Amino acid sequence: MIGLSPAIIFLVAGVLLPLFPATARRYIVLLVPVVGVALLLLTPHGNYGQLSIFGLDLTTYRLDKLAFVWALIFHIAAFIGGLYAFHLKDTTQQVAALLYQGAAIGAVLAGDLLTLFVWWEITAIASVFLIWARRTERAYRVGMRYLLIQIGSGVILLTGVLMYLNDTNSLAFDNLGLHSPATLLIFIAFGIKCAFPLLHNWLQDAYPEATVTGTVILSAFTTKLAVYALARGYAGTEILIWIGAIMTAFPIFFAVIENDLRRVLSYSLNNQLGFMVVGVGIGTEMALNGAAAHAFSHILYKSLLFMAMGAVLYRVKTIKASELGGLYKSMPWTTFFCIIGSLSISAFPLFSGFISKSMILTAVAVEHHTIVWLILLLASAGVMDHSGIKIPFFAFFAHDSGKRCEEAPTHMLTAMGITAFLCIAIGVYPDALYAILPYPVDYAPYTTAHVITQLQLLMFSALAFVALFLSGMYPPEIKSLNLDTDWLYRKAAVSIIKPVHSFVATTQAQIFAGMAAMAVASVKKIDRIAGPQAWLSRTMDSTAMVALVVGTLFIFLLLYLF
Amino acid sequence: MSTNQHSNGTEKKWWLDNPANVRLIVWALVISCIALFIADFLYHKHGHFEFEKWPGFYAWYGFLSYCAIVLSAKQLRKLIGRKESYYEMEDSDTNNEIDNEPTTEDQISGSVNQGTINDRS
Repeated sequence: MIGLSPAIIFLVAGVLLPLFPATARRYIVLLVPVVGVALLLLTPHGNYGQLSIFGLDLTTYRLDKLAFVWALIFHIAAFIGGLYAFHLKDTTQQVAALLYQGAAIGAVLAGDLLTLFVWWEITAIASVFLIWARRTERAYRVGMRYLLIQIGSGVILLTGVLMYLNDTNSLAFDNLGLHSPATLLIFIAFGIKCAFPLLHNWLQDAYPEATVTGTVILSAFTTKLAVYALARGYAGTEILIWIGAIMTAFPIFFAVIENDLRRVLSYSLNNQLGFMVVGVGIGTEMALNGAAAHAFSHILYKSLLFMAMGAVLYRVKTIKASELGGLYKSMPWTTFFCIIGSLSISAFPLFSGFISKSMILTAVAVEHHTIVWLILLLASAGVMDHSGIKIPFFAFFAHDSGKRCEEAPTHMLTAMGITAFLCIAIGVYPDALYAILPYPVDYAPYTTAHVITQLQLLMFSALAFVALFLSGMYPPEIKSLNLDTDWLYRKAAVSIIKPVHSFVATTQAQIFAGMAAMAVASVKKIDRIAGPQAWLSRTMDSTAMVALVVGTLFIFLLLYLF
Repeated sequence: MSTNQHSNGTEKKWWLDNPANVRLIVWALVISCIALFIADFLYHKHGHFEFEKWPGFYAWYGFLSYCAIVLSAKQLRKLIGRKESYYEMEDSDTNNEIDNEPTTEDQISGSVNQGTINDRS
């Protein structure tokens, strides 16, 4: 069993799952991550599953310290997602989730680029069913857009990998660096999944449209897999520092004015990825540790927030800030867990975000990237707004919408409770997380200066909110949507393609009409010559026929004789 | 724990329903901000940048960043804000998935209900 990738267990379980009754399926979904993590913990670090295909050496399973962090948190996220979705009887979603989670785990454990590509594509294909499972026209269209972009990333990755193979005669997935067109293509493929600025909008388009439970599962894997891939292949690539800094900053403006709270969280997710990308770009041991730690704690608090908002959507049937408010009266536990998620993502001391984000910020400061550091600090104040205040405030407090509902189901509360516990546990006892990071940690998050400065930043941000809100300057939550880069392919491209399409359609119609007319004319002509009334089809009487045959034979005879 | 499910006059009063308590929270925030600002002078600073040593740097940077973000986002809304029906009519809230999922134990697994557009709130 040692040397068997946990991904295979997910895959096999996913394929066999439809054979089981609904009551058993929900337990299997919970059991698989437990078995997987046991296998992961029992396996000594090393390379497994080496294959040679067509002379290419593949390492299908590589377990080292970097991969371990991601593999572990993916298992935890899979378990939490399974628990949160415990009420589901929808086989489609259960199978899709298992295959998707397994593929993401397989991808972080891939030791070569070809194996990575295979898992990369399975994550794309499996995950789209978590969107389609909503079974609406809208979800179908969103899913198609999502799938096109995800598969596109895979195609670019494969092209890059093949070019890389041609250049270097190697498929090893180690530090690639931006040195050739091949590695640039791989970089872009990673960048699409990592939601780089301008390549980001698939995330905010698709995630809020998935099912209640699907969004929770989606939020954990794809983008963090991309962060892992960047950490593995492009650590220390300087451009990532700037890409990451922009990523932390621009989504916060969209998050402030977005009405759909799960979409707010998607923008927030994008902003959190930015911090990790900066860490990868800095590339020092501390920065990479910070990126890994932040991915770990981020998956937890982001799942927690998506679970809380999912519970609201599940009970109230809307997640628009303009329709919500006052829900703490109906859902006190959900409110409580959501606030813990908010405190964690805002990086309050004693919560998980604090001990991971501060590592990245310190690593940036050590390298004296002043502007980047200031952007990250600004983005931290932005996080305080959209995830720290806006999410809990407009959903659970603000003006009372008068909506009353039941508290979230017990299994959802349990999933949120476990996640909330982990968020606090990591914040209170960071050494447990620091112990599994890729490099030795020489960092103390809880210094006087650190705690006070962070509290100043956050509390004065909160003060700014209170000042703006009470003075009526805070933008109200209104029913609306905001344009983003998806406008380019949902509107602009359509309005360009439409005239082209109608021109092609009319030309085609004209050509076809001409050809049809020609066909009709030829048929008529043939009809005139060979049709039922035509000369060639005329019937003769039998006497004339016999006379003709006899006459012909007579001519043959004459010719034969002379 | 709340047991009341109805939003009529018989509902129990919550602590936050009293405006005096909301004011209490606001004042608590203001006081803790003042305390944090004062705390800045009570420890030895050794930041990576010179400006980190300015009195209350993080405090005013946080406050100003926050205002800048929110107020510029408000302007951004004028530029990119559109009606909900801009791309398509159907609303993400009104889908059958949610009605489909909960509580009824006898639900057939994986049943496909074609898009019924129901109650808009």
